Amino acid sequence: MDRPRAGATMNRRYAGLASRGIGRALDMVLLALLITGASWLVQQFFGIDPEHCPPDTQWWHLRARLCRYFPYVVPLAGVTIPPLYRVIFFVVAGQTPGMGVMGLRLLREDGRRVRLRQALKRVATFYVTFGLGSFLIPVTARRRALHDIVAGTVVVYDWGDHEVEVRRAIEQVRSADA
Amino acid sequence: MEQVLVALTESRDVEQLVIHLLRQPEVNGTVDEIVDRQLERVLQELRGSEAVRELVREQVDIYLQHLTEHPEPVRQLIQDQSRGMLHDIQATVRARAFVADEAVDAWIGRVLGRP
Repeated sequence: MDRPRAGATMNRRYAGLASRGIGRALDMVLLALLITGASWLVQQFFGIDPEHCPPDTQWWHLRARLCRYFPYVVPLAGVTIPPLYRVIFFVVAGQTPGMGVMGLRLLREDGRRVRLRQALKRVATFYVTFGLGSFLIPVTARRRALHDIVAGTVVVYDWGDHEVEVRRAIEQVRSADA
Repeated sequence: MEQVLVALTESRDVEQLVIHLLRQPEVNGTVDEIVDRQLERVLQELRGSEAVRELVREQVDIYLQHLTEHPEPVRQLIQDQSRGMLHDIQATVRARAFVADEAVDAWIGRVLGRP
């Protein structure tokens, strides 16, 4: 489908489904903690109990209004914050925190840094396809998901300063599995 | 008597004789036994000695005082060890994921009948 995979060299190898899946799961855990933590903090700070909201008879009763709409705020945050989180991290750092833990980096096809346009395209395609395009990763030549192909991006391994440790660990895992 | 003893300890022949005797298994075993018995006796005495206990207590106090006044090396050591452990765990997770990536690809390749 694409150009051939980056051969036997470790550097600039394209990341596969498992690494990317774990990275995404870590991001989801982090996001869930952030969203629930933030909503709990807001509730505590404003003293909001959504089951016992005071009446908002006047327009300045902001706390009462926040209380009334609070049950919708968390799902809304759950829908809007994850894409924003991904776009911001892709553009600023080239990786989300979950990808950072797994040693993955998002790049443009030519190896340059991702810009806002590619990040938006990638995230939008991911959510429109419900992430199902990820199943293309093991079958495409450069391990690209549908959202990578649409946005013109690739995900590569980037172990930074820990390259030697990871290589050693790979050898250990291989020899243990053999 | 003293002169004789000095002469004997400085004598090369006596030294060789002692070495030769110590190399004999039965002599060596006896010497070991004597040394062990003496060591055990000395250690027993030291264990019961209030002076040794006081000395150890003083030394511990000095070390604790030093650590209280200079906690940085210990803190640094603990931090380095924790960081090292985290890096090891991270490297293992990355390595396992890398191997799993290859396994998924190989499995898909087999299913699709690719070489």
